[in-house]
Amino acid sequence: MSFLFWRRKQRDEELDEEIQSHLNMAARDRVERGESSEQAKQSARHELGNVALVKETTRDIWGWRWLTEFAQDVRYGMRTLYRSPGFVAVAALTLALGVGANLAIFQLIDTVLLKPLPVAQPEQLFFIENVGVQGGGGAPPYPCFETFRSNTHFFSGIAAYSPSGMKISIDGQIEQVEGQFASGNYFSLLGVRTFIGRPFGPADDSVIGIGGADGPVAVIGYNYWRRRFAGSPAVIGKKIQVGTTGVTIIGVTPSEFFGMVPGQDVDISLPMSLADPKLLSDRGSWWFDAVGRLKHGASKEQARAELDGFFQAFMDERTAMRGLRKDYFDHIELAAAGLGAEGLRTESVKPLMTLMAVVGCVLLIVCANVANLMLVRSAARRKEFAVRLAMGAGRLRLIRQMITEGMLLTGFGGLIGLFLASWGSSWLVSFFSIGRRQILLNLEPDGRLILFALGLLFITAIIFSFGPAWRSAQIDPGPVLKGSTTAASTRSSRLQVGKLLVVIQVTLSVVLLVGAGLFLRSLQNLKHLDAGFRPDGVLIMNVDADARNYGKRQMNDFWQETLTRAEAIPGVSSATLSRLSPVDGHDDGAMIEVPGFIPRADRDKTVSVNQISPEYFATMGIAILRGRAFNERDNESAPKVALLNETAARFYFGSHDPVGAELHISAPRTADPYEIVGVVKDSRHTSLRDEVPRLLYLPALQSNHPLPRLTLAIRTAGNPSGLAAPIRSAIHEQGADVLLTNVVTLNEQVNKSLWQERLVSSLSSIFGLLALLLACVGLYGVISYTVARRTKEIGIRIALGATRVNVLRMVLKESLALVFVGVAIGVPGAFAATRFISTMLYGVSASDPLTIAGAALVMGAVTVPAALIPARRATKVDPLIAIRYE
Amino acid sequence: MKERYLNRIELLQGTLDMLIMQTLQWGPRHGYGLSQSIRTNSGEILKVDTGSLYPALHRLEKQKLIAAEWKQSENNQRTRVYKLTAKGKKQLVSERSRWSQLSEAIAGVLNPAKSEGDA
Repeated sequence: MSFLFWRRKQRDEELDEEIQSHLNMAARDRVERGESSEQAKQSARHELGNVALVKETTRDIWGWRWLTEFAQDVRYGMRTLYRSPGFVAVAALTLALGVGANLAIFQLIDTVLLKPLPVAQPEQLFFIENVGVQGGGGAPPYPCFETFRSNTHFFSGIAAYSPSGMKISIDGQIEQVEGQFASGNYFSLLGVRTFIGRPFGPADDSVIGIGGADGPVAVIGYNYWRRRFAGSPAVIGKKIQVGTTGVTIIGVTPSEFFGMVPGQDVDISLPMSLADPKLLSDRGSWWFDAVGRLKHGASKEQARAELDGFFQAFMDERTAMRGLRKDYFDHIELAAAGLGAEGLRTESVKPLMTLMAVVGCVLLIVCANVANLMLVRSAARRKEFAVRLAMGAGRLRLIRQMITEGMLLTGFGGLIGLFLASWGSSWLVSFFSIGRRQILLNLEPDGRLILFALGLLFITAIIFSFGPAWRSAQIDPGPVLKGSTTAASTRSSRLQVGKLLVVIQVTLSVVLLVGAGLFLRSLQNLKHLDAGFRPDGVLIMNVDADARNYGKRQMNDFWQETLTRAEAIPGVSSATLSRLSPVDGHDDGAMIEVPGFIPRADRDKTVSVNQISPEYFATMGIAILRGRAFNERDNESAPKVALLNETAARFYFGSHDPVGAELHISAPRTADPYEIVGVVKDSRHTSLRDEVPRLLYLPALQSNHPLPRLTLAIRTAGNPSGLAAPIRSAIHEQGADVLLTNVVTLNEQVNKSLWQERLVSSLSSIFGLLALLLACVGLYGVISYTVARRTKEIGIRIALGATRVNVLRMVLKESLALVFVGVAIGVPGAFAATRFISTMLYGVSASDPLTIAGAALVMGAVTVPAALIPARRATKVDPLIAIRYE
Repeated sequence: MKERYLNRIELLQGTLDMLIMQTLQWGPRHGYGLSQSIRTNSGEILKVDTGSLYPALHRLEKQKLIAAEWKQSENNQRTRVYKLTAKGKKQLVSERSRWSQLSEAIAGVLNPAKSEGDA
């Protein structure tokens, strides 16, 4: 006989039968000895003892007791919950909100911060980076990397990879994709197999310019494959054009692989030997990243030290970079690569953690609310508990029952919350994607998320149901069963707990409101700061004429034509071309030498550079402070000219007028001097938050190299988006091989650069308001309960002559006292909590008194109606009825 | 609560189990028969608390020391009859030797004069 759980019922029946037959036989024996049959039955039963207990003890032996009891609790819980649909609806809904919010944020945290790369043994992978005092990152130049690769003893392999925008032509159609060059051993090092076809290997990476025996090959990404080739297997062997090289597609990577950089996708990978051969041999170009797999048993420090030795020898040869060496290229460091490149992670840590704290607070408030609801409900069930206690149920059993009900509630709420969370996550990710670059995140749930969800549900249920359960189990069955209604002590202590919960809710809400207020104000400050340019009415787009392969003269003519066409469109008041546009997130740099200025370090010689056409300042709305802007006469045959922004002028010239002075550009080295012809107003460069850098403007026409990619910007008095279509067709007329990408208005670009601030402030506002609402509901509930409890007292007071106003004041005083205490604790709490977010704020301090006062006021104001409704009910009490009320 | 109902007749756990197994050695019995046998063989001294008989029987069955079958009794009634298994027989032997050791030890403590008195 096996002791399987589901045979339980059969064994129960058999046990009953067995005991019954025992009783029968005992009774029969007694009858034989002379007792009457009735008496015999009774004494036999008596002899056996408490039959039920015997059965229960025997069943105990079988084990499974806890499971049986749990099943009983669940069934019972379902029945009782079914009878109070209102309670279940409210509780489940609020739980759904709290749990859903937490799950959504955690899913984001999991995907962005915790998920390891989908590669083999990610913990063995390390990025090989050169770092210095001021910063660092990226791998040393390629020849140095090759030295690493051939001489390392502690890495089982090292691979290089370099993300790069690529222009792909498939059957004549051109498009821009996110590609990368990668070493031949890239895929085998990472342990990534292909979905179809094969990955390229070292053999495909052996000859520069060609690759290997199969010629130039490429591996494409899964998403790109579905997007562009409709997932057709015929893609293997297809020949396409990447830039000027024809390549054959030989494989497709699996859907979960996205390269080494979270948030980005790799549409196509080409072997390193197909990259620019000049870069591959350049000993002074830092342009790619390197990742290595540590050998089993090797220590990270050993490996690092060995590579550092090679690196120092390499750098010793490079005398030109001496000044910057300590700042950026001091030594090699190994960074754990298991989670991928850290850009997205470091950007997102603070905002995501803040959001997690916010939703955690919301969940606590939700728990307080539901706990209050459960307290009120258990008050109504006192008789039921008394009966059960009297019948012999252990108090622990009762507590277990209540907690089971709590878990059932959390289960319902959790299910609804899951739906909310999945919808919320996708919305959040799309918000993320509004940022500077498209951020692609794989939101598939994984073990961590499921574990978190289960744990969260469990803990939530315990938090809000343990208290009420404990109180319910403490009741004394006797007086309750006798129908006594003056169990005032239990009622008042229940009220105390209810009030405490409301105070907690108010405190948490105040903290959340202050946080939301601070974020909102930061965002406002950023939006309204004087950025130095006027974003309204400007449309920008990237124009890529690389396919033409023009020289300098042809390129200049091409751009001239582009400008003429743009200006000819009706509605356009000015048009300009530039390398960079305001807050586009990119930067370009150079080192300059200014006569009369002694730099203390190479750092002092660096400036940001933007190559522009003459109408740039007019189009962007940047004021010219001294001298003049560029004009058409500053072309390739004219003397070289330059403009500085205020910060650069002040830095290099102090209070002297820079106009007329000359400067030299030392890196990239050019022979000619540049005459400074003007100074322009400071404007934000890479982002709104960063301080304005020293900026050097140069005419695009006077560039030493052809500029195949520039940003076109046009200013119009009307709506800039309306001009997108006319401009597109105008540029297309110049040729179908000219790529137009990223068409946005300058306002949109500014907004994009603020995506983090917008995300955090909108979410914290939403949750702050939610918290406020929940606190009000909680307050309303407690005050209603108070009024109900004191009906008799109120009746007496009215009968004795109290006016409605008096009664109103009495009730309001009590409720406002709760709010006051909550705010009083909340304000210092906010002071403490906001210290952690001070780095995310802009223009407001973390302890800004105005915001805190505002939050307190909002809290007070909103809770007044919540208290007013039950207070008014109190005034309507009919004294005659109330005095008889029990 | 569970402990109270385990066995009221002995201080050492498992003694009832041993008595049941011993009784079954003389042949298979049903529950009622077992309680009667133990009572008779102990000279009416050991009245098995039948409330602890069935838990003990099922415990032994779970441990596979005895096996049970449904049979028709003399009066054509269905009863559950238990018999000793091979494993149970072995267990009984070891239980009995443990019990003898124990009772000797107790006797040794109760009658110490035997060894000291002779001098």
